[in-house]
Amino acid sequence: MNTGIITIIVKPTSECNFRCEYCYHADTGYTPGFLDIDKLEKLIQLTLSEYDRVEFVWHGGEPLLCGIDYFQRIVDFQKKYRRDKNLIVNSVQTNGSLLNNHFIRFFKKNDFSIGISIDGPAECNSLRQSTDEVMRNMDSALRAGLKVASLSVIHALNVDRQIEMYEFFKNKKVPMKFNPIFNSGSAIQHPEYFLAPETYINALKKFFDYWLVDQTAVRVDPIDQYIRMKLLGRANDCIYGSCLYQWLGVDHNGDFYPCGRSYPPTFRFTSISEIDHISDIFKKEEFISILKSSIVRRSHCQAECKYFGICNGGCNNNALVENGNVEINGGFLCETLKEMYDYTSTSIDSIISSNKSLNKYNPFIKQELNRRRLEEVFTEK
Amino acid sequence: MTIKQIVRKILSFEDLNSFTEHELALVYVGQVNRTDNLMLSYYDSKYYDAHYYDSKYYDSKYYDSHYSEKSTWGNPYPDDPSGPHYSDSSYSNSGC
Repeated sequence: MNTGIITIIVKPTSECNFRCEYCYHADTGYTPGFLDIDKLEKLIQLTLSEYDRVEFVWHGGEPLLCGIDYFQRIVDFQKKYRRDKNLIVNSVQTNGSLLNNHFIRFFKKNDFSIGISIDGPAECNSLRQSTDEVMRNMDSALRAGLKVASLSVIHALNVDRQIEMYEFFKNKKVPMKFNPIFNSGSAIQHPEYFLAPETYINALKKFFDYWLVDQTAVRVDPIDQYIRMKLLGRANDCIYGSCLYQWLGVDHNGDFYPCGRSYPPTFRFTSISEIDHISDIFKKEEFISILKSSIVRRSHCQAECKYFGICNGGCNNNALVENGNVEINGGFLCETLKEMYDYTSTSIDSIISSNKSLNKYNPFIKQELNRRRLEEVFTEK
Repeated sequence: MTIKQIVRKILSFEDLNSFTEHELALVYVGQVNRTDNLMLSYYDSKYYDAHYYDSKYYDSKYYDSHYSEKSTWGNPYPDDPSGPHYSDSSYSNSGC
């Protein structure tokens, strides 16, 4: 019996009304149709019976295409199968175009949080559609008190505009996450949008320098991850953790994959129709295969790389997409992590060792380093 | 060879072929030095407590209290629940 935590990234549909040029999901196609209700019910039943804390991320495709009645069924099933010990967390990752007042009321009532995929103001959002409409919907959701976050893709056309994007979301009090474009899906057809590592790294450094002294700063990933690595010795993003056994992806057919990223069919573990327990998945040959590959990659990282203690060998999907093999480390994100960890770490070390006033730094840094200084004083005494 | 020794080796796929699924799981979680970053959800924490790691890492209360918190470093606005902080761990933790 398992009493742990799991995150299930469910793609109830592969269809999308946007079909952005850089979408990694495009690898798996935009097949119409929704995850069958019987499969949906079984998925919720099995996860709630085996895990205490279950986090559902309703992803896609565009999940709101399923309609509000579909989401009502989700909530009904969760109520039906909930045990006393269950803690259920729901979030939706949407392009925001269908986030009307009905959805907003429903998500507010049922405590869903919303991630909106948008790359900032129109000038930065040129590879996505309907900036104005999505912004109106985001503003409505914020006014209604929904928990809203933004997820932006950094690519060749907006890489130098991260400060604009940051200020834009900050003014809306929206936490944000910036992901570099992935080399998968339809993005492969558009190499003009890809980033050279040095371009991305230099832009991130510039952004970090800006954030560090921003007196009205808010948290932003990936900067937050680098600071966590430095100050806590660990990140909390799934790409720096041990995701196997803790994360699963489910597509609109009810097939299980390692997570919500794009994987070829050889990484299909099984179908919800073929199992009686979630733990059955972990005995499947396909799961064992990626587990072994992940162990092999991590064993090389552990032996050969001084950053292993903070990145834990990185992400299986990044390894697959960047190097063609889960067993092989290195690549764009590996290089970025090393450079950015060193850069942010050096910067923080320099602030700490200077022993000067922290007033010029942002409130997060100021508060944390002041607290540490106080601790040191009391420890010395 | 103990799990501790195994996780310090450079391993090939073939090295792992004789391992049971349970042993593979042990090696996988054991590879990560910073065990406080792990949230074991498959194997019973007591197994690890007894066999390998310091119990504090696998105390479920430890994870419960840390996993859903809004931040674990510098939080200058603790009284502002509507403020721009990550309040949804599944969103902020997902790399998708």
